[in-house]
Parts: sequence; structure tokens; C-alpha cells
Amino acid sequence: MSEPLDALALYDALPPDERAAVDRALRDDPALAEAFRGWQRLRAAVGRELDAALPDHGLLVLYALSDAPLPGEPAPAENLLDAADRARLGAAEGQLRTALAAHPGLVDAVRRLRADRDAFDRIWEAHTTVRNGRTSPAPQPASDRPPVARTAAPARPRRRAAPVWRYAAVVAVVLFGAVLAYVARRDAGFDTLRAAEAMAVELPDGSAVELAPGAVLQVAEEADVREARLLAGNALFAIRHDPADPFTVETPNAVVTVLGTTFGVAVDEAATEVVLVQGAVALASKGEAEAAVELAPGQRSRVVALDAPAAPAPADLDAALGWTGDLFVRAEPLSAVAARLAEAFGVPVEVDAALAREMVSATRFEREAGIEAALHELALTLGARVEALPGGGYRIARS
Amino acid sequence: MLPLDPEAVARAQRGDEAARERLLTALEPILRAFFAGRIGRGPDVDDLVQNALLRVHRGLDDLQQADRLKAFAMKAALFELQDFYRGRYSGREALYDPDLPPADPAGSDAAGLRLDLERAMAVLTDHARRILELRELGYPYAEIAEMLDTTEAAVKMQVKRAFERLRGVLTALLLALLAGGLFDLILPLT
Repeated sequence: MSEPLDALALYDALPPDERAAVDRALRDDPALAEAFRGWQRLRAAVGRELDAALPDHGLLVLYALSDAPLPGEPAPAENLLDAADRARLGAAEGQLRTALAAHPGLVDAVRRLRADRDAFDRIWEAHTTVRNGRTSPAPQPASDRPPVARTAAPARPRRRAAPVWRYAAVVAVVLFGAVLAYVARRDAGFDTLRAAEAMAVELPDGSAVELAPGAVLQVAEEADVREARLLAGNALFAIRHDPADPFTVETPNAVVTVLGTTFGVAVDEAATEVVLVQGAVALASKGEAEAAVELAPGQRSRVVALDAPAAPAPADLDAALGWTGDLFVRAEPLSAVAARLAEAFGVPVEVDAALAREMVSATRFEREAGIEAALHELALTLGARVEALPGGGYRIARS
Repeated sequence: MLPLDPEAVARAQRGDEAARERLLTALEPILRAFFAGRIGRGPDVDDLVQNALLRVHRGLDDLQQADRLKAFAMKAALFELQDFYRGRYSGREALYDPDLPPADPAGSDAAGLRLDLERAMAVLTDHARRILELRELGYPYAEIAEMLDTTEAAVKMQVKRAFERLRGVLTALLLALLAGGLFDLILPLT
């Protein structure tokens, strides 16, 4: 099929410049222009049929908000219509059912509206939960806020006006699972990985990522591209250090710039949370890139919607990264770390009194490596040694 | 008391201007997140948010149950989105673009080659018809592809094929007229 014909078929979706070029071609080719007019009449006829079948398209919205079922799908659990809308829908029920039976496009539209309904519901719940949890700025006093339009609607809203509302930086990262999955399919140069179960990924540059079930990660195909995108779920990154070329991890609403470290990222519909195990990272919102925060080991920060990141705070690494099955410690005394290792591996671990108060910096102990590896790592860090106890278990002693 | 709580909604309905303003301000980020998720960022989102808030503002007094604000706001958002699609993306606007070249005075209408629309519709496969219906409802091709669980390229290919088939029919009709008397023999399209 030639390009001009393709453009004619999709004329209604062409940008203005391409449309002008098509118009010129039509002026020069009467036969083509006649075919195009036939196509226009056909398209218009499709629209007229829809309008004749269902003059009030608002009924599609009401149908989507009702608990009426669609073919092959369960009915929504709740009817969201008030009495007046129920009456309006009921009065048109016969017409609506006939229209839906005759026009599959209308069924698709209702299905889409149902998805929109679900999306709105999720956003509402996420946002109100965030507010209730005080992790979002509390509303300002009324006198400090710009007035809300209260009278007649503008003839046509401003297309490029600055946001009217002071709370212009808001929750905007929703439905991104579906939207970004679509974008991911189109993104050249990146592979998309969907973790049906926990999985480990080695990146082209030698860095490693562990994904929790449900996580969606995009990784660059080229080794020299130091970038990954976490679209959903939880991941633990262990990034190869390269001060000349920092690694970045993008989420739908935030960017983490990495300087060689181990850190976890959790993404949901409303927020991105980063917890740092080792090294250093900078976290910025995509809405306020200049307001980045730097995390120290054992700290966490969170970007809600497009707000600036929260101030770094101590993290419960085990709680945040427990899904990996590994053991994480923040800056803790050796005695506390030994006790946790003993509990985790079910083996007694003793510590020389002289070492008990030695601080262990934030680190990760891989459960698969075993307790001996963990203890030797500790001992090496502290200049100590590991002894096997006669009755079983270990002791960390001064060298 | 949070601005979206039923008690706060009731206050706003009773004329408490501060409560109403807090309510609308609290709704704004929710609406913005919803619209941004649907159509991406851009000035259109500002328009949608503002118009949806106006719907809520104007209809708030008619809300019978203060605890149904979520459904009320949701309905406003869905209606606004539907209007947006119908007005901004409607294929019919493009189909009657005033910049289109004028009809050829010696064209088919004058020659009696007016396309029988009912028969022309027969060139559409069920799938193509479904796509064109969605297009008439204002959905962009990319979104139609998502709705039909396929790719935008595949959707556009269906449209192109429909156009190609229609063009073939028109060509056959023209040839029939030129040959004389064959019009009725060629019209059946199946």
C-alpha cells in the first residue's frame, strides 16, 4: 500500500502539516479525491449509525457506573448511580441494550469506561490513604489558597495557561502499569522483564538486580547504557561502581542516581520508595528534579506523586527488603548483629565482650551464602576472627 | 475532619465556602492524577481538571448523599473525559475539514456514481467496523489498540485495508459505468 493512500485512510489522525500535504495531493488527483470522499461518507455513516442507535452517549457513562454486566464479564460489585441517574438509565434500557448488541464499539467504550472507573477508584483510595497517613502536605488554610472558579465556565478553557490551582504538583502516577507497559513495548534499546516469581538479573555492565514477584523492569540492551527503569514492584539493585558514569534508575515518578551501591526500590501507583543499604544514591522527583536528596546507608526516602522527596530517615531495611530473604543491618553494634544472625540461621553466635560494642555499618548478608560467609565478612570488617564452638555455633573473637 | 469526609461535604453543601474550597482543592490532585494517567501530561489535563471541578462545583448542591462524593466526582471525570474525546478527537471534525479540496464538479455525484452507503458499509469487516466505531467515539488509535489488545500499527492497518477495499469498489463502479450497463452486476460486494 502506498504512503499517500495510507495517509488518506488515516487522514483524521494526521498532524496539520501532513494533512496539508494530503490536501495538495487530492487537488492534483481527482480520482484519488473521489475515493477519499467516498471514504469520508463511509466514516460519516458509521458515526450517524452510532448516533441513531444511541443519541445520548452519556448513557454509556451511566451504564459503566451501574452494576449492569457486560458480555463475558462479571458485573461490578457496586452500582454507583444515584436515584436520578438510575431512572435515566432505566428509561433508556431497551435502547441501550439494542445499541450495545448492534455495535461492538459501544461495548468496548463501556468496557473502557469501566476501566476508567476502576482507575479513578484506585487513585481516590491511594490519595486519601496518603493524606490520612500525613505523608502528603496537609491542605493549606483557605485564605492561603487561590480561589476556585465558582461562576460560569469559561467559554473555552485556556489551553496553555499556568495551572490555576496551587496544588499543581500532585499525584500523577497512576495506571502507569498499563500505560508504561505499552510504552515499554515501544521503547527501542530496552528489554522489559516481568517477574512472575523472584528472579535475578545481571545487567550488561555487570551490575545485578533482584526482582520481587510482580516487578517490571526495563534494562538497556547496550552495555554502555547505565540505566534501568523500574516500572512496578520491588527490586534490589547492586550497582557496579563507576564514578565517571553514574547509573540511574528511573521509576514513573522519580529518578535515582547511583554512585555504586546496593539499594532497594519499591514502586506503587502513588509513590516510589528507596532504601539504601550501601553506598550513596541521590533521589529526585520527576516533578521537582532540583529538589534531590542524598541518602546515606540505612536511610530511606519516598517520592509521593510528583512532590519533592521526603527528608531521609532511618530505614527498617529488613522490613523494606525482607522479600529478598536476606538479612540487612543498619549501623548496629556487633552484639545486635550477631544475635540477628543467630536467630536467622538458627545457630549460636557469641561475641567477645571487647567487640560487642563495635559498630557494624549498613550491609547485607545473603542467606544463600550461609552463616559462615556472613561471620567471616563481619570479622574481616572488624579485624577479628571466627572460631567454631565445640558444641556447635560460632564465636567472633579479637584477632 | 478531612476535606472529603461526608461531614465536610455536607458543610460545603450548606454554604460553608471554606469547606467547599477545601473540598475542591482536595479533589484537584485526584482528578489531575486520573486525567494524566489517561491522556498523559499537557495543557489538556489542566482543562480537564478545571472543567471537572466546575462540574462538581455546580452539581454539589444536588448531591443527595454526602457520602457519595467519590461516585459523584468519578461521574464528573468520566463525563468530562467523554466530552474531551468527542470534541477533541472526533473523526467527524476531520471528515468535514473546511480545508478539504472542493468536490469535483464532474465527479461521481454528477455522474450518478453516488456511493450507496449501505453497500459501502459492506466493505467493512466486523473488526474494521468496530475500530471505526471507536474512532467515531473519539478514541485515538493508540487507545483503540489498547482496548482491543493489539498494536496501534495493527489497528491502522485494518483501517488502511478498509479504505483500500472501498477504493477498489469505487474503481469497479467506475469501470462498470464506463463499460455501460454493468453497474448492477458489480455492485454486490461480497
